[in-house]
Amino acid sequence: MRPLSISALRRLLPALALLTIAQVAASVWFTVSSDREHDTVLELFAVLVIGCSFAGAGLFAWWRRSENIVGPLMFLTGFFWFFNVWVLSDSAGIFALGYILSSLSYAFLIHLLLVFPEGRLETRLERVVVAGGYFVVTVLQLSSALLIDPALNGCEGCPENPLLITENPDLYDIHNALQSVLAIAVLTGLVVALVRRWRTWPQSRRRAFAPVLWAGGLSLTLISLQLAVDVLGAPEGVRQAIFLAALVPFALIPFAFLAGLLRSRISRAEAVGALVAGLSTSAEGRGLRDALAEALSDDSVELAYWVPETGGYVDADGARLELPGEGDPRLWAEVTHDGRRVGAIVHAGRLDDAAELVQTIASAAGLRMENERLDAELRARLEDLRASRARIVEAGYRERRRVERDLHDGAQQRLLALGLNLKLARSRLEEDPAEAGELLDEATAELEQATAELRELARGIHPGLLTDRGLVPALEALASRAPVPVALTAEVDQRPAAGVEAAAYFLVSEALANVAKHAEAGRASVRVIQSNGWLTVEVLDDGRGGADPDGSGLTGLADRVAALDGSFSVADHDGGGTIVRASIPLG
Amino acid sequence: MKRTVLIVDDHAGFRASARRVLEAGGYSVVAEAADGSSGVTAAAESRPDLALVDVQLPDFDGFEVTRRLQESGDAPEIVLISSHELADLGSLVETSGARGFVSKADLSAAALEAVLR
Repeated sequence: MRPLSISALRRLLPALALLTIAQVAASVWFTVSSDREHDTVLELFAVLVIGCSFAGAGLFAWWRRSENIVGPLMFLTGFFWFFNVWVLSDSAGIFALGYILSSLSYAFLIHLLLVFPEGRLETRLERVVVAGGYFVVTVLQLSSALLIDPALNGCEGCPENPLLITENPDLYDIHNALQSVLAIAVLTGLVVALVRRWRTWPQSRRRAFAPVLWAGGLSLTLISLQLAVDVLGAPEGVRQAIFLAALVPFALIPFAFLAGLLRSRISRAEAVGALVAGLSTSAEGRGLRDALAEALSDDSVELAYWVPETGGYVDADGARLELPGEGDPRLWAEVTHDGRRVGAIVHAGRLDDAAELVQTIASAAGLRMENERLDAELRARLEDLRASRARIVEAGYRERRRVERDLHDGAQQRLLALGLNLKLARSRLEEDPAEAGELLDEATAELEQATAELRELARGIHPGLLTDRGLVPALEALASRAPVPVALTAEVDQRPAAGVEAAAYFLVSEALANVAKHAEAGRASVRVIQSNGWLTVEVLDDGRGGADPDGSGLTGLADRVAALDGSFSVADHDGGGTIVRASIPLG
Repeated sequence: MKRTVLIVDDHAGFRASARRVLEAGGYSVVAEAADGSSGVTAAAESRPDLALVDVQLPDFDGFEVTRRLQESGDAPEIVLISSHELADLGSLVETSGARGFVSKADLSAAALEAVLR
């Protein structure tokens, strides 16, 4: 699980609960002790029901989904809602505090609606709306507090505003209109963002979480309507009526949230139950992945199948797959069968209980996934085999081109020059025997060179010594020609099949050529051991190491060994240098 | 006056033998080049009467050398040479604009005369 500071704050929950109780007591006291004319029962009812339900549901959600910001936001919405009755206080300081802090509830609610239920803002519009909301209730509310004179704004009996810096009702009216217009813009943006979000949701999710969005969207729309009629100068009664109407859906939000949580859990539990039951009865039908995606309401679900041979994961098509690592927001759960690893389920981990559900499914899916794993492993092997076969064919063509080029550029040109020299010598034989003699000497030298080049070329195609005398004498000859001293250890009792001999010979030949070209080595050793039906070949040097296993020469060797069902590896040796090793079955 | 020749071939041993054969046959080898681009440059500098151009060269082939030489105007007579036989090259020699072709194995002053006649 990713460490999140919100998770750490969970320890504060009991203290926050106590703080809420204190807030309730203070709010009740400010309401009942107020000298001003107000409807105590209505005010208390609205504040206590909304404040307590938000704060309570928020604390529950915070405790249950400690990594999700939804809980904290819901708590903050409720907690700051209580400040609405602080303005009833006869104390000027408490009145001012209530005026400034009560609006924060709206910004927390906007934030809450936009991150619900995953706890993340997804789009630029959502981020702008949330930032706009916070701006209106902090910066603008604070500056409003510096300008409002309660007595001039229909609050008779309110204490004087201790923060008032200028008694200029026009300035306040302009500020108020500006703040209201901006708030309406933010709330309109919120509705647009919520509709967009809603449209991306699958049916099951809409069913579970719609009540929260409907209640939240409706109450904030009514509040923006109230702001609009206020700016337009509608009578106080109309404003008040709209505000009271807005409180009804507002109060329902926490309950809708809890109901949605319950509904989604029930529907998901049903889906998981059906999935698990389906797994044990039938291996037919839809793929495991699709069933999982549906059960988890997560289209990004991926299945990774374990391939013990390579020590890695592949997807259903046999292509290599990496599990999410550090910094990847996705999560994964290992799937085992009879104590053996068979794969992993990679998921977005967006839902609070996704990890638990995946774990439940993972334990039930072992057998089914083991079967799919075998398929995937087979496909991976076929894929490797196909690639290796293509590389062998390509290597064959490349080899033919090399032989043609070597013949053309080497021996053929020497023989052509030799032919010309012989013809010239023949024509000069009588006129100038000495020059003819020189030409014949040159021709002889060219002939020797051409013969040597042809010998080298033939050895590269297939060494005669290997065919005639077998692997060990051919390797001895190879070692004696190597540019660095080579210690050869060979324990080969019987001659292996020609293909195995050739693979072993060319492995040593290529490895020693690499030692000479790249390794900066002082010496090398070659071990060829025949034992228990396997021929093991090792070439070790004392050079700088760091050989590239994907270099074309080494890939060609790996393919050659793989074609014989053998294994091949290139690695840095513990004691320095590079070790190339192959094991090839003899039978 | 001896006819001047440029030899363009990437194999030094063959160039040396060809020079001897041609000089013994009465030609004067005024320049040698080991690839197509230096062959074009050498032709511009030494202005030979005749250029012997190998078909297979490291940078571009003898047909391209022929095209570039002829494009520059005032080109020498061009005879393509190759270790392949004429039949191996299809109609490429015919359409190249070169004066003719001599297989490297048959290179001699007489063979050149036959082509240039």
